[in-house]
Amino acid sequence: MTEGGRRGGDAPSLAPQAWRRLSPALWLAIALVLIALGLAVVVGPVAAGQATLNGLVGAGYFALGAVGLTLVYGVLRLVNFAHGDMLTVGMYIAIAIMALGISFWPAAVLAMILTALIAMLLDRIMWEPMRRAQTSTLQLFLVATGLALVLRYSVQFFAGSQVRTVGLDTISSVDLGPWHLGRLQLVVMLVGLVTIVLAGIALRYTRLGKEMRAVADNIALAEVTGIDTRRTIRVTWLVSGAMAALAGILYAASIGSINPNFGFTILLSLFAAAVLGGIGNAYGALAGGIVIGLSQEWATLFFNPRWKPAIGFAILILTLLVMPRGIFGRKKARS
Amino acid sequence: MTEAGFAADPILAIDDLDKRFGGLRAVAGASFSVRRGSLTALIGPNGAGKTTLFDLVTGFTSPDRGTIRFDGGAITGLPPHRITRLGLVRTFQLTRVFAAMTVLDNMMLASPNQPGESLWHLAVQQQANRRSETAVRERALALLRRFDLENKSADYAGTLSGGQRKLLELARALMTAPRMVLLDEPMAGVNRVLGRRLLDYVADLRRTDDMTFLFVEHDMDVVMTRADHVVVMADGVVIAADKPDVVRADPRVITAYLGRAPQ
Amino acid sequence: MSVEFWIGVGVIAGIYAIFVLGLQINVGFTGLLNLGQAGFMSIGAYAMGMLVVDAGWSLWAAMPVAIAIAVTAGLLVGLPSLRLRADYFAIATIAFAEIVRYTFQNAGFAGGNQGIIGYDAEWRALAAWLLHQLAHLGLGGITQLPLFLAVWFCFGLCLMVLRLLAASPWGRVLRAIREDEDAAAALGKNVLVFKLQSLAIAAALAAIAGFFLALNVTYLYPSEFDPTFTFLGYAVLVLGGYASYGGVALGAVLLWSLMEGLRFLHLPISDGQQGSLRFVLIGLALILLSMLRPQGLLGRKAEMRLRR
Repeated sequence: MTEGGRRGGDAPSLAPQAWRRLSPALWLAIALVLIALGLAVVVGPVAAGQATLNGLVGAGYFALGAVGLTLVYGVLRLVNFAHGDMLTVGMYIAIAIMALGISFWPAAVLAMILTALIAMLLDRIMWEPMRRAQTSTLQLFLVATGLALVLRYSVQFFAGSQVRTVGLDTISSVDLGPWHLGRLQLVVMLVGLVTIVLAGIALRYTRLGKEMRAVADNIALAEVTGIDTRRTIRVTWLVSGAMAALAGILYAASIGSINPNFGFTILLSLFAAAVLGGIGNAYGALAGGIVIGLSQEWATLFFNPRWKPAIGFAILILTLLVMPRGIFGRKKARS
Repeated sequence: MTEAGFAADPILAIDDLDKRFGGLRAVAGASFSVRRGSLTALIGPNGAGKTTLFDLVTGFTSPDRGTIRFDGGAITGLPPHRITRLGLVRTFQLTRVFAAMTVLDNMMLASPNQPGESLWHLAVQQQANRRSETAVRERALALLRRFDLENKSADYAGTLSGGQRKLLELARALMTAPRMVLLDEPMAGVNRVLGRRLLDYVADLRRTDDMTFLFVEHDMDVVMTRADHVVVMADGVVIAADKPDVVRADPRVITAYLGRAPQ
Repeated sequence: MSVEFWIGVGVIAGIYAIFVLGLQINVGFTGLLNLGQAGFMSIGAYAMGMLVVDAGWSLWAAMPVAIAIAVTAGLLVGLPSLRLRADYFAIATIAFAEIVRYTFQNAGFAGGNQGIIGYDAEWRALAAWLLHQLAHLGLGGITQLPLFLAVWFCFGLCLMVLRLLAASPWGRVLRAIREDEDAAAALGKNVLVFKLQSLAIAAALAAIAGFFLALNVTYLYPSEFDPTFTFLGYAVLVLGGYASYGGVALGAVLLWSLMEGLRFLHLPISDGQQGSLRFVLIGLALILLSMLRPQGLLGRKAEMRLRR
């Protein structure tokens, strides 16, 4: 049966927003804690805790990667199939900068800035003209695919297709009680989680964040209320590019090695996180990333780690089948 | 609601229909019925819920509450294609002809029960398919002739003028062999001459094919002179349903239009 | 620049041509963004391979059954996902293709990364016989010729069938769905059923392309069917035009001639870099064509404009 309404926007909602939005987040948090505790009972607190820690490491880059994807969708209604390769580009730019003698974290910051600029530039020369010409979903997909190929294989052209290490200390580890984590992984986890929190705060309280959310919700309405949508779009691309670069860098740092395909390989998991959280909703993407990160690691308690990415796919399929709006979404998903 | 509101032998009966979008109650307990063979107008100020009502009746949206009965059977919650097959078809406010298909293709598409639309029949019953195509083509051309569009049959529908598209959409809807047609603002964007022609066709069809028409319209001239029954909606409910003269003088209707007296 | 080499390129072009016919019926005629075509291809190829190698079937018996399996997969994927919005449907199909690839790569029953080998004995016998016949025409030296002829003959058959379908009332409904599926539903057409049929046919075509691919490489392994296949397929579609049949063949031949022809340009770059360059150029072609000439090389501009 058709879900209440056809494709197209919602009429303005008059129900109280605050508790409605908080509630799914609360439910999600409670569910995750309960699952963690349940796992502790089943496999013992050591294994469960270790998997949870590992999961939180992944949560960072999945969440940040998904945020960029979902923001672009929310503001522009564009499914950016080239987003995964922006993670790759970000990381390889960082590598190139490091080759100049600059150390890792400063290189990372520079790479984030450069990637953000690249994203904005691409909008200027590619996406904006297509928006003005009102191109179809198919054409947008083809352009995004073309862009993905250009990005990925340009990186491969210059850097070669072989797996390369990041050149950081991936050996030393830290002991946290009965659990342990690579020192680098611990840093990745902290940076990731802190950025998630900062992103959430920025979205909620800064003017730019509010404008982005408003435009994502209803662009016509946003314009009418005086928001400079063109600037919002530019900022969205900057943020998307920067977050993508950071996600790519965190991923590389936590795994220790990369190849030019890695961004594309995790794209589907990023989609899973974005769709799970409700595509277009940035908080949702952050939450979705946490769920994906945790689920993948928790799954390794029962399945061969080989199947980790499959968890992402499974979550994506389930979400599309059962709850296409996602946990936080309000957009119509059926046609 | 006057006696005349609940017509004898209604072809369409709507009872206590309710539809909410988020916090907005677009249709708030609307009830009325349409008499068989009538030309009924649905009027009301903007935002009264008329288009939502059309969407509900034709299955594009399902109601939160209430029932819709068409020709003796319940159609509440059925998908659009099923409702059309039962004999209830609609046109759209902003015409939705298939622009990159020819006028003739637009018409032939709409014909129901074509064996050639089933892969199975295509494979094993070529004869039947060919015969059906010929018959459908003739029927389509005849209808186009009636609407003065025959000479456009080989053109892409996208090259037609706005008024011609309206005619095409109506002609196409008629190909589905309906018993009732819902017209969403048939006069919108159409010049007076063409509009009058369209209404003449409609009047013709009522006589010759015993069809019922329900149309949403803002042009009061048209409503008062052509409709034999008028239903008035405001704020999601039906506030009056009667003959045009009665409705015109109804104080609730006048108030709903904010003091603007209907012509 | 030998004849043998170019006939080999022609085989690959032919495989893509059949593969893209499936995409065309989805995209060009129904308006469905099917990004999982490579998944159906691998299901078809693997089903055939496993039936022959593991279950001892004849190749000729395994093929129709493998097509049926691919079609079933198409229906199973389509039933839940065709109800979704266009971009969600696209994502669902990608997820499907990745799951298929992943399963074949990691599950034991499909040979894992070892792949499957030995299913093409009957084909090789037939090919040898064909070659013998061709020798009478003086063409017996081109070993790839039998497969080349088989692929393009099959493409021709599929093309004819699709042409008939497109001109039929069934095809008319598909085109209407592509234009405006709500209007089509409002005219009494059960849109979901037609979309399912379109997807099922695409799956069948993908499976057939998969057979030829399997016969060409004689050794089935999962990374052959990676998403690159689908992307290149769309490149062919863009080159040739969405709604033009001849375009599919032209696009396939053009793309592969260019890709392989690049080898003969002696650029001062390494082999690996040359491979990367090919894909960069394809990406650029996709972008430029989509932005500047969306109707493809053979499509009709008028039709494209009318659809806006």
